[in-house]
Amino acid sequence: MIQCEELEKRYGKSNVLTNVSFQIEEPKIIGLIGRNGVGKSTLLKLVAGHLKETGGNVQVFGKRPFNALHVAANVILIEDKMSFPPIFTLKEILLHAKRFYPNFATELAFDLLLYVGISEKNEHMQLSKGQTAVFNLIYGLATRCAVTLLDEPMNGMDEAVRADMYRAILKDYIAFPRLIIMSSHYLQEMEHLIEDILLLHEGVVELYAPLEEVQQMALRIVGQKEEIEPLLEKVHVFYKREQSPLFEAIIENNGLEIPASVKSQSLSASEVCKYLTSSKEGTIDDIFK
Amino acid sequence: MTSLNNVSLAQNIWQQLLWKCRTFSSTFTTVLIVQIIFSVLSSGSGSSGGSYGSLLYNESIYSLDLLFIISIFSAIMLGWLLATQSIRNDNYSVVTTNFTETVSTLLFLVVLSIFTVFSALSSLYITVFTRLLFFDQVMVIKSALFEISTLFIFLIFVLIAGSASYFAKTLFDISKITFLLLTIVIIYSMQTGGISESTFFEFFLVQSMGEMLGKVLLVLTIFWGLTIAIRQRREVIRR
Repeated sequence: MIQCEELEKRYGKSNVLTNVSFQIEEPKIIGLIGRNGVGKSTLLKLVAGHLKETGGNVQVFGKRPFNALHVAANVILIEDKMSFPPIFTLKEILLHAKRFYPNFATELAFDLLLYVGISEKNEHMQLSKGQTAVFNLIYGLATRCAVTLLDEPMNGMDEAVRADMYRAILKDYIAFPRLIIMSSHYLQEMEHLIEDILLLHEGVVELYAPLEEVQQMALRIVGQKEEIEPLLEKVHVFYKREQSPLFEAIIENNGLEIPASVKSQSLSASEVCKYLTSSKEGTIDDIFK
Repeated sequence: MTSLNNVSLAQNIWQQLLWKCRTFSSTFTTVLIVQIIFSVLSSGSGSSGGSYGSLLYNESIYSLDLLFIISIFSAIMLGWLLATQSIRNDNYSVVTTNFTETVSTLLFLVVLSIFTVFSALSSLYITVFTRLLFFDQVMVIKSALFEISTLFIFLIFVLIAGSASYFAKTLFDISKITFLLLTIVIIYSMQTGGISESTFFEFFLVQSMGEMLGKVLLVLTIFWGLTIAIRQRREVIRR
């Protein structure tokens, strides 16, 4: 479905993606994670055919997406900067969509719009930030494109609406399976939704694995310093902190035997991603020392 | 898994043309209203008066000169507007590629040019009606001389103006320096007498209809060929 090989994207002299390789073959919901400016939006735009790759290769349905009509008809990219002609009301936008997207679920779109309390008589430009995000997401979901790319779709929505929208994504995905790639900074919120995690870091794919695997990748261990320190020599350490009398460390989970006196617990995928992409120059606390 | 959408090039261009006609529907009414206002306010391009006993009459020669100039300016403005970034962004909320977007814009300009010609023609009748309604002046249409060739020339000049403007904006977006240099060269040539407005009209208005049609097609092919070539390389940047 999507294949990237050594994909590169440069804006002027700035390298955003340097060597991105991954392959997605089946319908699933994937969380695209990474720090700010790491190139999540750029990657989605490359897959949608909005941007041209600088190097490497990207293929969607076996075709280079840039300027490919077949890709444009089957891939939708939803982002906050999406705009519609100001002459149309939301109702007209949804009615017109069916002409371009034969699978467009007009009824579902109107039902969702009614549920979230957005009047179909509004114009897109009149909507608040949160309402715009909701409408864009509804539009993207209703297109039922085989590849649906959601670039931080929940930005601006309140917590209750976010919870509803996650549920809407899941329900529609179960009824009509397709590939949904969702970039977000709210990984913890969508852990129940996603099947795989695609983690970008410093221009490359740091990790592409099922969620359960990511959750098992690291451990938090807490105990006496003299018990912890020997363990740290045997594994990769993501983070350590001494808070007398206890010593805490986040370590790679490589099957190391942990003594019973040391408390260990798994991390959430969100925490694992945070430590995998954390600054190697120390923590924020070091700034204030 | 959801089924794949199979959209043909022609189908997509047609849908986009309909979408553009709806999106810019206000342009059609604006053209019509502007033409009516100018028709009503101007009293034709020439007139003569006379009397038979107690009967006074005024004979007006009604021509499309003024409307032609207005239509050309409208086409230039619209061509520039259609090539702006925000309109391009709106188009990318539906199924679009650079190619289909440009071709559908060309077709939209053709539709608008045809509408402009018919709107200019109908303005004569609307003027007669408006004067009767609001100014209590009875006008009798003595004769109306419409030649197909005149209408065709009206149409192609409006279309060329819109196409040139669309191309100019595309060029402006890709290289402001090239656009500036080209503008300086044209202005300099006009100042030194190398080219003038009449050069442009003389180039197209030749005796043979076939030759004129050939020149029009050549110019349109150059404008749109270059526009498509430039736009094919452009990325979508929503700001």
